[in-house]
Amino acid sequence: MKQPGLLILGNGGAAIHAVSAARSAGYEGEINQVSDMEGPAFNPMLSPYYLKGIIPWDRCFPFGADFYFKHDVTCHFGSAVEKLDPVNKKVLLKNGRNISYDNCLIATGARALVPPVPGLNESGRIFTLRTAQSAKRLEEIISSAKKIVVLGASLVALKVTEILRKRGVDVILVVRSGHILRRSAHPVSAVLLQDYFSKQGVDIRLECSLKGLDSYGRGVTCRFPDSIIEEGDFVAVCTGVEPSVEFLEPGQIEMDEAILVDEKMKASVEGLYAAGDVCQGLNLMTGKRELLGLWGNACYQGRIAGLNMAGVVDAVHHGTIPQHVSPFFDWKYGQLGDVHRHGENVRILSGGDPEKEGFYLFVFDDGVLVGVNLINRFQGAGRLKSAIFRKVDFSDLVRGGFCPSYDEIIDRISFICI
Amino acid sequence: MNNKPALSPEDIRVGKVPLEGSGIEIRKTICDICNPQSHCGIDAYVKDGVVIKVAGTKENLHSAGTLCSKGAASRQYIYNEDRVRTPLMRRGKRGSDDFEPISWDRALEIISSRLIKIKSETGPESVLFYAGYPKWMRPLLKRMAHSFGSPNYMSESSVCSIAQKLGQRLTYGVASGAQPPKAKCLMVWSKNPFYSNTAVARKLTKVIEKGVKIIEVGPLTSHLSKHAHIHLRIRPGTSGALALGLANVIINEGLYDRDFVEKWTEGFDAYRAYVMEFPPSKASEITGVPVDLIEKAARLYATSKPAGLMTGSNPTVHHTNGITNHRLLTALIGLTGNFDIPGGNYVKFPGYLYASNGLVTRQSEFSQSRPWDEMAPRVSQDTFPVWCKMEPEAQAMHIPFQIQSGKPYPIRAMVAFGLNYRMWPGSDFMQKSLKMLDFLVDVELFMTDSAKLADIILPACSSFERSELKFYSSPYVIWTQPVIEPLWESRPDNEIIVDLARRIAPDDSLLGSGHEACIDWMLEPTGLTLAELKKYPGGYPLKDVPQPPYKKYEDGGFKTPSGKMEFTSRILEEFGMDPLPRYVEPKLSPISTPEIYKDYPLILTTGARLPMFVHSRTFRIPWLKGLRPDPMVDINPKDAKERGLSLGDPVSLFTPRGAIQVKANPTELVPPGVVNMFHAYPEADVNTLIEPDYLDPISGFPGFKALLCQVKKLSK
Amino acid sequence: MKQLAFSFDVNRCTGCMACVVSCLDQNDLPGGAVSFRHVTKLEQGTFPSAKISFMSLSCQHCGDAPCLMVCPTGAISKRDEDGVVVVDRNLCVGCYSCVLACPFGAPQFEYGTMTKCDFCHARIDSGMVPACVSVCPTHALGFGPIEELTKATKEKASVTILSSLLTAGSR
Repeated sequence: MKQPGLLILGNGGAAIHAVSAARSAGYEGEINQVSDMEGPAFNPMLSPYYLKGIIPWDRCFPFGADFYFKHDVTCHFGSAVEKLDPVNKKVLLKNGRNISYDNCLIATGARALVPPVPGLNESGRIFTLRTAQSAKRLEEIISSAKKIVVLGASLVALKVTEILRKRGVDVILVVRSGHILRRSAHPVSAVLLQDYFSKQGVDIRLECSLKGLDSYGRGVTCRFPDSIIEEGDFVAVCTGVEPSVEFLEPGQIEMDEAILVDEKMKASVEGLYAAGDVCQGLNLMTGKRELLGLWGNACYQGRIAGLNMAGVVDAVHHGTIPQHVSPFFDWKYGQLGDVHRHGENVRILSGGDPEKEGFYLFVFDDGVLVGVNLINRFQGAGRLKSAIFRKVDFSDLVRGGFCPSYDEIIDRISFICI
Repeated sequence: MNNKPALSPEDIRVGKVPLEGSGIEIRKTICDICNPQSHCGIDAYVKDGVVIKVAGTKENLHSAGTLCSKGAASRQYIYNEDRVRTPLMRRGKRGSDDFEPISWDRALEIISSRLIKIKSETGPESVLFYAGYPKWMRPLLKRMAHSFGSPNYMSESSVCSIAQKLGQRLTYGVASGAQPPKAKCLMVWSKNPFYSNTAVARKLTKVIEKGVKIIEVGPLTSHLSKHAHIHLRIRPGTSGALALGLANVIINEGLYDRDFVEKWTEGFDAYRAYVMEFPPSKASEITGVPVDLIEKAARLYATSKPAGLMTGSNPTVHHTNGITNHRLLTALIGLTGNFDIPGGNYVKFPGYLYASNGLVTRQSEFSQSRPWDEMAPRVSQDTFPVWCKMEPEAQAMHIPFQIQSGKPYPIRAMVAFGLNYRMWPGSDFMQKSLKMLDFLVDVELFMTDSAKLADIILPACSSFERSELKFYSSPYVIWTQPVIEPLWESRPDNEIIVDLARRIAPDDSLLGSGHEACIDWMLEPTGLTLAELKKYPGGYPLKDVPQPPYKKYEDGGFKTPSGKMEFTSRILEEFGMDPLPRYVEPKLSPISTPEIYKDYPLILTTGARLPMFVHSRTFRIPWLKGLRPDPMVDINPKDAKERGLSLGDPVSLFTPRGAIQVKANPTELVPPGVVNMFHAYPEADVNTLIEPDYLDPISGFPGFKALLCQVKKLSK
Repeated sequence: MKQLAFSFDVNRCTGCMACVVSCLDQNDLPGGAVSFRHVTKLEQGTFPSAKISFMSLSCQHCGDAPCLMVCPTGAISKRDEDGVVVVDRNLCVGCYSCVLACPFGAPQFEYGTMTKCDFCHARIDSGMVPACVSVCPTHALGFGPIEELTKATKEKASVTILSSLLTAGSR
């Protein structure tokens, strides 16, 4: 009877780095890995580059097919998890197989959330962008579609919009709130991006939401407030994600929006870990555990989980801050930290032209940098991130009505990495 | 995840590594972008006749394989698109960009026939022969001038290097320099070798790490400031007052070398009496340096045996009271018995082209091909008679005045090598004057604003494209070889001179025999020959060259009229000037011109070194301009705040004479009340803010380093 | 594996930027915004006791390189023999994740893909020294296996080894 070893549920960034870390730490026991998809690990970050024709399909699988052989992993691919039994430490797969474990990592990621709009899900004419399969489906759709309604104002919504526009598809972008990128962008930055997207031919509808939808064979009729009707070929649903935990029973492990873990990636039940988009890690800006949805962060979390599962006692993950950088047409937009701080001691410094030297927006709270938006101005942006982490003091520059130049802010952080 | 590829021929070229089969060869030359005290050895990586990379020459004893940012940017210098490609003749108006290419033969024909004609009409002295930078062609240029019959050879040394030595020579008959490795204490007076001379920078770095005590004098914060034990931050232009304050402590506390003073000096009584008028409190009041620091520094310098005094080439003499200040501060050397002793200020024999290594050449004899009395008086003979007595060239600051006045004789033509009219104070005045010449020739690498004033431009080679004799102050000599062919139709300056001299001074057979013959002639007393040096293209280490002994004055006295160190200079007296250096304020200062100071409440100092620029030479190099893209005025954060200035804000920097638009750079480089502006920018020429006669009365050096100005924020 | 690192003596650095330019020359970079090495200035204090120091920084070839971790395409890797962090520009899609990850500002972009200091590994492989180290006029910049540099630090307090991310962790 084989010694039950490590079980990895999922095949994304967190899962791969957990396997890699466990083996590097000297773990020699059995590692089983389960995934509902076939094939090597897929990086969803790369599908827009594929769909824009920048990379070939095989480059969306950066770890390669021989990763599992090299790391001595037994693969159970193509079958989702049916049930988890944390008391007896085993899982049941949909294909009927049982796998026992000593330590199990839940790294099943998140999936696109479809809002409960009447007619939406049943129409058969919606698509999302998250998995390899969905990327291939979008590719098919683009080849015939003329007009698509995109629901949502997230990064994914904008990436899908860009892919569609680049292929000459008309897009209506339906945004529920007053500006796009409600979480990531300060309103000032959002307006610049909205204007830019409009110039690329995107029809942006702010403070708008889909009331209902009828499909009619080769298309859909969308109903909006104020009796507005729009026809389209498909609807792209980019309104958010939910963790892929359908195999968990309510109350089985502690959850909020997603699975709650400590700094060692341990869940509330012995022998269970969680990492990546399925869990809530520490957001250093708020001090709370949140679903952050970042590839790099998922990888680090996976590594820490893997080390702990392999018996390394002092591996901890200290949390991270919201951060991303995304290309949109000829622009690059990025965000660090929290740009939505309000209060007596908050100062906002902003300037620059996105088309010339680049646009920046810095949010200071009590003299400390807490949030950043950048458009086309990324030289040394990692130093800005470091400044947020290290709570670098800018109070002499940003207090008292004295308005520092961009160069003076950057001057201050040029030394901080030491 | 291993990423190392197998080596292919393409891979060999990656990293520009000169492996076998790569086609890359390392050839040796020198960089001559800055002054002869540097001229770092260069390893040029050459492939298919093109330099693809440069590095330093490790075996070069002077530069030790290192380079500064400018030398490292050599490729963007030698291959710059501004390089003049063919001889050019002016077609349009003077100063326009309208030139037509002509052949070398035609160019030399036009030049020689014009010069010969002017000589026959108004005498050879109405033709000036000027050397800017680089300096390598000076001995041949001076010789050609005199062989042609003109006394008027002059150079960029009219604003650099000479005055510092002249000031010392008025006192000691010779100039001396510190020996950092042997000193127990170094007083570094207005010198920043970290941006001007990497060999000295290395020497200083070593002594700093050894723990030698450093006294720094100067208004600015430098790299040295964090290592200096004492930093005397004087108000610009007050070095003389500080020197008097130091001397006051040294004499009053009996810390001076009585034996030396008694036996080997003249005028000590008059000097001492004057020094007594400057107790530390008075020196402190004038200079702004606290009394306790003056006392501490004086005691440290005077009681460290031995101690060296290092001065920069120019900061102490770029003042309207420069020579006086410099005589006062260098007097401290002899006062404390540190003259020409080991570890003190040592006197070297002149070598070749401003570098001394113990070998003595016939450079002066070679270039003075006609005695002064056989030629007309020089330009500046009556305005700067001490200069003309002491120096074998004219003081070029007087050129625009004599062009304008035509007295005592007209100036009608100029043959220039590397001319930059912005070097003159009131540079617009010099530009206007040059336009009045009948004939102007400029030999240049680049199409500069000064070249555009010329009638004929001749394209010169860079150091990479020619051979030259290079002496270092370390025991190292090179006869360089070209590492690439001359670009386009450029030619080495010395070959241009030889060709021209054959036409305008045909009786000079030595010059006519060619560049190498001249070099061999000058080298003769050293025992070295070009034939020998040619075997060592990377450089020839000198072995066992006897160095001049210390205390040379003990054998035959000082080379002064009195045979002694002269606190009171007989030469100055001979010319009706005060023999004793008496401190006066700069012509523009808070004390000397308080009315002007009311509206111009900042002291302006110009020309402090930036590491990526040397004068105007490297603005056209994108790698270097990118390190500091805009002309900026350095202003203390307090003064900046008072004017509502942030980093990069546009400002007007103005004096009674003029204004320039630059950007603000708030920095602790400068003390409150002082601003610093780099010079030579075509778009923001600070020399237009200075009067053309803002000169030291003895040396003629411009007062670049102490003026009054104001800085105001510009609204967009 | 003998991890290579740069050593830097802040007491010797004059801010002359020879290192920056020799790197531009070595790698045929345009300069200005795109530069593998940067020198920045630190001013401390005020008149009369202000001090100005300089720092020369390039990629530190971190033991646990964050750029490597966050790169979605696997374009960034570490050499087995000396830990030099290199980028395969053919695999880079220009996503800029590494720019956000690097606290030293090392990744640069040219022609849409990332490029940065590669420790002049082609020169090192042939027994030469990195371009920046070779030109430094005051020998403030050095390099070598990190164990040897650590020994040198003990002798001289001012030699800083930038090993803030050289943690023992999985590659």
